Amino acid sequence: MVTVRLHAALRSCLPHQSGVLRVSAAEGLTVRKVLQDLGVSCGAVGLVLVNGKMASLDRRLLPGDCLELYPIFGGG
Amino acid sequence: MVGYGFRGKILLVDLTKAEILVEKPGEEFYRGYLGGPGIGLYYLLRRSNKRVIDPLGPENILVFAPGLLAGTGAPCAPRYTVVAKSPLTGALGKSEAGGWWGPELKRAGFDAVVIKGRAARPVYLWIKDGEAEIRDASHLWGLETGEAQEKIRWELGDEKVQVAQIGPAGERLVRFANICNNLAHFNGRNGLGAVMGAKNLRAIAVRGTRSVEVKDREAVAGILRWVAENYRNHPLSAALHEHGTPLGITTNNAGGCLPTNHWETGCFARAEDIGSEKLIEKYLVKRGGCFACPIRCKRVVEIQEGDLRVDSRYGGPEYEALAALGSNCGIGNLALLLKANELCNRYGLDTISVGMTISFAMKCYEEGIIDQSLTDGLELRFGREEVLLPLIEKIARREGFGNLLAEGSRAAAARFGRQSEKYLLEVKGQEVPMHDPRVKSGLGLQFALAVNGADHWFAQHDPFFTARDSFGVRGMASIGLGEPVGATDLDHRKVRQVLYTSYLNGAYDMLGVCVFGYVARSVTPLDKLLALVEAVTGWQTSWWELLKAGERMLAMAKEFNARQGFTVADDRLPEKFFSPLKGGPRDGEPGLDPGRFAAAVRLFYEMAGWDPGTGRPTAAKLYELDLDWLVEK
Repeated sequence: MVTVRLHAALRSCLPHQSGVLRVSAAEGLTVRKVLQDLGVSCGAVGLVLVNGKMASLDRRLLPGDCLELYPIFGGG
Repeated sequence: MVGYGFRGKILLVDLTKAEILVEKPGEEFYRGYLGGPGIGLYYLLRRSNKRVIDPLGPENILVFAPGLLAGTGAPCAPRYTVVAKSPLTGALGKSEAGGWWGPELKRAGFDAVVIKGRAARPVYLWIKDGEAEIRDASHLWGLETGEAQEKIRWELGDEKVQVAQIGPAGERLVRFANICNNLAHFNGRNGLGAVMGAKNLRAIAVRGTRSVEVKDREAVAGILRWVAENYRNHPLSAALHEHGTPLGITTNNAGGCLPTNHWETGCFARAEDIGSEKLIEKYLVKRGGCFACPIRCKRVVEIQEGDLRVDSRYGGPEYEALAALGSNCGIGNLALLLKANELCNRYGLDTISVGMTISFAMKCYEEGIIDQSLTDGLELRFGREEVLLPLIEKIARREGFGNLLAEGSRAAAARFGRQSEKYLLEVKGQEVPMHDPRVKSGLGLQFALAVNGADHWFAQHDPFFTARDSFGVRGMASIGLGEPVGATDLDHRKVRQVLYTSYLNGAYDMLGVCVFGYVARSVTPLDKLLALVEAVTGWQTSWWELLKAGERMLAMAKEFNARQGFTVADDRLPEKFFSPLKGGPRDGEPGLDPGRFAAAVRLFYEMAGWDPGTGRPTAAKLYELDLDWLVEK
């Protein structure tokens, strides 16, 4: 399994507000696929961390990985 | 009626002579300069007549100009620009604010107010439905912004009067004093409040009851309705509504780029304590907004009990304020930050420059450059909560150490000496906003090239253009930005992206639209904005014409700066941004490459048609932009 943690504004993409879910680490699973399955627009994501390290949307996910997604931000 | 969307009248005020005149430009003028900074720069350049201006002298020209769409019912288009020479930078001062004041001025029958001279005693300007008068403001001088607004509305007998004003900081010529309207919307940067203070002009009160004529009201209403129906379904505008800009605190912290302890690191241990979710949970009483904006990204906060009472009339903090006063000073007490933000709003101070000037002093204290003999006994260490509010009070009143800080961080460094200037984080004398150029190189180009000193909305931000499905790439292919560019790339494609979006943001300002309502940062696409301009004005126009208008405004700004003595040497970045990042997932990643950065700045000049030798737009570029009146002959 892969633990997926959505932060702040991305949390509203899930039916429950905890922002945490576990998904099956199917062969070839990528960050982009997780976002597609959740119905989250890739353009809405500004930061991808896998096990605390920066990663791209094409990063392959393995069992035990922790994926963290933060909303895009710019200007203020 | 002379046209649609504009009123065809400019108010010219000479405070020295106590004289008010009206100028009536034709439709061609509006088609070329649109509104906002276009009109502002036109009058600044025409009336300053090639001279080097003292920003605090009577010769400085101060212009208030709503954008072309302001007050027309167009969605998310409330903004007006204030333009003058900046007392903080010595370059162009240009700062936008939302709220209600800009639309109200249009409804009162004017497209701009152009002010010169200096009143013999404190005054305010009262504009109502085509009439204007200069009134005594002696009884307002010294009052906080909330009290002054109440008194003005009471004596004019109308609660709907919109008041743009300075606070005590502007009266005392603090070089980063701002201008506020409705107590919670700010022309925040460049110290334009001090220009008002120097003119003895406390406020401009406006009331307008006449709708601005538009060509196709139904079409305008239709697009407003579209935004109202769709903003909750778009992830960016929905996030702006739900979290506001404070969203940036935890997201930037997670990416290791939240300015902390005067930018020593990008990670703040107490980021969660000052982030948007904590703010919503504990202190948010309302989501506020601006004229004809359904998104309502503003925060309204309140604390009713305890030592830190916060009055909701003063709105709430943006990301910039929370980061500048908070993480940047090592302070993670949210209630204290809300109070600090409210104090800045009461006194009329720019929260970014306040936070950055205080953090600079803290850094100098920690490095042993200054000590308590200079700081009025305050121990200025990062994270010392007890110094924040006293320092804001001292700056606003110009008391003791605060009088020194009130001149801005660059002037403070000159006083501190002992190589303190190496800790400065400013461009052209303006303290940098809370975005790290090391994680978005185009933002670094913005900081360096912005005509009004370090500015984070000179162009669009890099993360919106990094992938095929990025909102900027999807939404701006029609203006030549359909190819992704990496956030830290620094090649010709990045320079072009910054150049084109500097024209776009210039056009946004001239139209009065807010970046938080339109692509790339929000829900409304470019084709709808173009349709709005056509529906409001009746012009058959194009993005070509609108981007050219943005380019025209920038060329005028560049010409103004050259006349005030600025060159390409002033378009630089602090050394900090060429050193590696510290903390977080990007720890140790290199900063910007100085050689490549300098080459990118030069390439920007060449693409823009600006002469890298003189800093001026070339004569050919001025001719191309129909600015032949600016060509030196």
